[in-house]
Amino acid sequence: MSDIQVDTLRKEFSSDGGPIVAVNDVSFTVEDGEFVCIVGPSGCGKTTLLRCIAGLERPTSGSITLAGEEVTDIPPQNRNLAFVFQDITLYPHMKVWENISYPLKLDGVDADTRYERAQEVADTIQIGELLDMYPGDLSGGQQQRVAIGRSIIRSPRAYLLDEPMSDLDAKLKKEMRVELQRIQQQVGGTMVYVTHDQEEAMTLSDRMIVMDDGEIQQFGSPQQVYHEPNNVFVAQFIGSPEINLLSATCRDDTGGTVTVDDTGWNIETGIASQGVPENVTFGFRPRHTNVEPVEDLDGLGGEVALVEAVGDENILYIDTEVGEIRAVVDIERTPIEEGDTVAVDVERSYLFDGATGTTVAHSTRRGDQPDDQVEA
Amino acid sequence: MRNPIATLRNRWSDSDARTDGGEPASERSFLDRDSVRSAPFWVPPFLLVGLFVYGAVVWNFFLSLTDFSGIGEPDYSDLDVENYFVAFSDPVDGFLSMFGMGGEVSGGTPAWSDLTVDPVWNSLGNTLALMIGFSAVCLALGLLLAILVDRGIRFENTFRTIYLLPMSLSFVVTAKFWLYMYNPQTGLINIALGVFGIGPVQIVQNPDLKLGAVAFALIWQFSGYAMIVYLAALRGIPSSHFEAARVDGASTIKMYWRVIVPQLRTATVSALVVITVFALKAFDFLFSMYGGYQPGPSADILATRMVREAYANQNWAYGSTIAVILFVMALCIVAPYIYSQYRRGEL
Repeated sequence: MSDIQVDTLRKEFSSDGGPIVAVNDVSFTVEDGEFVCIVGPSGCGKTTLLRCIAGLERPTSGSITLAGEEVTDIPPQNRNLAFVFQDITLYPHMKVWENISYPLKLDGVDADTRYERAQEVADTIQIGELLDMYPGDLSGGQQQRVAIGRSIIRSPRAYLLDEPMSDLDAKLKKEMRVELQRIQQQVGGTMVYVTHDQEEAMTLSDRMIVMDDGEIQQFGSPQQVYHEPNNVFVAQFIGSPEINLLSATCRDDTGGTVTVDDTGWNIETGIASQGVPENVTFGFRPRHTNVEPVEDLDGLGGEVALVEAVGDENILYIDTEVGEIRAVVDIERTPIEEGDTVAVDVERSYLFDGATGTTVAHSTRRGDQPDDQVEA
Repeated sequence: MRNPIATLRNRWSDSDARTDGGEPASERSFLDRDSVRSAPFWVPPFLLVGLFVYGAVVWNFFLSLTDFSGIGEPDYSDLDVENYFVAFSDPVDGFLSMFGMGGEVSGGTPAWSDLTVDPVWNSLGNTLALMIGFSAVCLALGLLLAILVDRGIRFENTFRTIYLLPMSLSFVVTAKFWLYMYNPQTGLINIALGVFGIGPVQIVQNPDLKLGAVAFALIWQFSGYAMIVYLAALRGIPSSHFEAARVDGASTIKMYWRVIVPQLRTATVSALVVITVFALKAFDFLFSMYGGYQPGPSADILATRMVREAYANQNWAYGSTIAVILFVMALCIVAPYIYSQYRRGEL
């Protein structure tokens, strides 16, 4: 097991219209035994970054260090890493046990030992009874288990997983997520996991890297990334339903309130106005709201256009003067129907620089002590 | 204008009531069946192919059982398998002679001849050697080329075209072309050898090199075909298979040998069938290269022997016998392929 250091890594692809920068001078360190997710929208360079670590892509510049050994120019077969592919790469002509133990075969281990080791691994990932079947006879979840089995059989230096669950259905995904965490605890390996699913990243990782446009937007624990986003992009990408963003004006003399542009709404943010630029983006998460039905609306609010029931909660889509905003309400406490006029009270707000998108400040949740927050 | 079949049906069936699509087929009238209605399209070709291909094969088999030789008419009243005994006479020495071992092979004297007729061992041996050597090298070379072309080289399409081009030539062109290449005085091969102080070497008429020279020219012509078949199969393997093998620790050679090549089985089988059948049919090539069906014993294959027996020696029945042997060999190659296709439900 080992840590992974990536230093000013850059990867360009050539195209007809000049080079395309997939990974733009990225640096970070994954600690030994840590589970790190790289999350971002498609085309953000996350898979390219992972493939660079694996050695499947050759970086344009920068370096990669595994357990103190610089591996930038070492071919993938000599890096001793495990890679689980998105499209569940099992060799169709080999039985399950042969697939799992294939890395051992390359190390020259004899067939009996390989079968035994495959059996052990298969028991760990609970597919012990499938050893003599061919991949074509397995379900998607079973195939993915076999692929994971193949990656853990050899005790590699680190596990790299490239969206391994994107081909599985939602229920199976949840099961496999738990399974993967169990396996990680059991084998205790360094894992780098690429996904576009922020929920997956939030639940799985010790720390997560949020990428966009080839650059790291934020690297921190899921709590940090959720509660203290570095910028508008992270705030928007992480969290479901998506954060509400309104462009607003902030003035020093208003004492912690912002005025939403094109309206007369003054919203108490709980953030001191000093040092806040005039043009800001005011953000609040749908979960950090209190929604009350009102007769006459004065301030932030509007007519409920759609109520989406998600189990215990309802997601409200509210039409306001400045567009749609989303709020999550407890289904028991707040009986609200479509067509109702509601006022929205913001419990916790974020202010982003209106021009650059970087976070200026965020408030603590009203009633919470600052200590409750996750440490930076 | 009325549909003639509909008219017929109306005339023959009791009522005009049409059955519904959900009715069982057995209740439909005979003339309403798809197979009957489509008869105008399939019956003529069926009869023509049946008569001229399969009919001829059967007829040829009966001919091989007669004593037909010289001028006259075959006598179908007296059928026996004597010709096959002659063809495979002296089996032990004959079989060994195919591998360059054993003693002198003696022929047989059939009832229809006063002379000794040679068995087929020599030409059978040459046919098998050509078939196996040529197909094996062709496939190996094709696979190698396909892997090289598949590795993202520059001018890939150009290379592909260059390798495939010989396939589009006729046997006659290839034969004449290689005849020139092999020419002791002006041929490129001898000029190249001359640079190293070797030669000039007589290739085409040299008993030791003849079959090799033929095989080489055929390989030149068909390895491009094998390459295309393999290339298509390689393109069908997801790139992550290559990468997974890499990350698992496989070197390039191991990656291809253990992961990629085993997945090319179907491609190998289909390329093999086509190429071996071409080897059996190499008659036109030898005919063009040697200006007739007398390539000499060291390059004599069953096809040239067959034509020679029939048209040069007028041993019609014996020629038919060799034809049947050739037919059985072709069947042996194609049948397993067709059977495997059938079992996988692709026929």
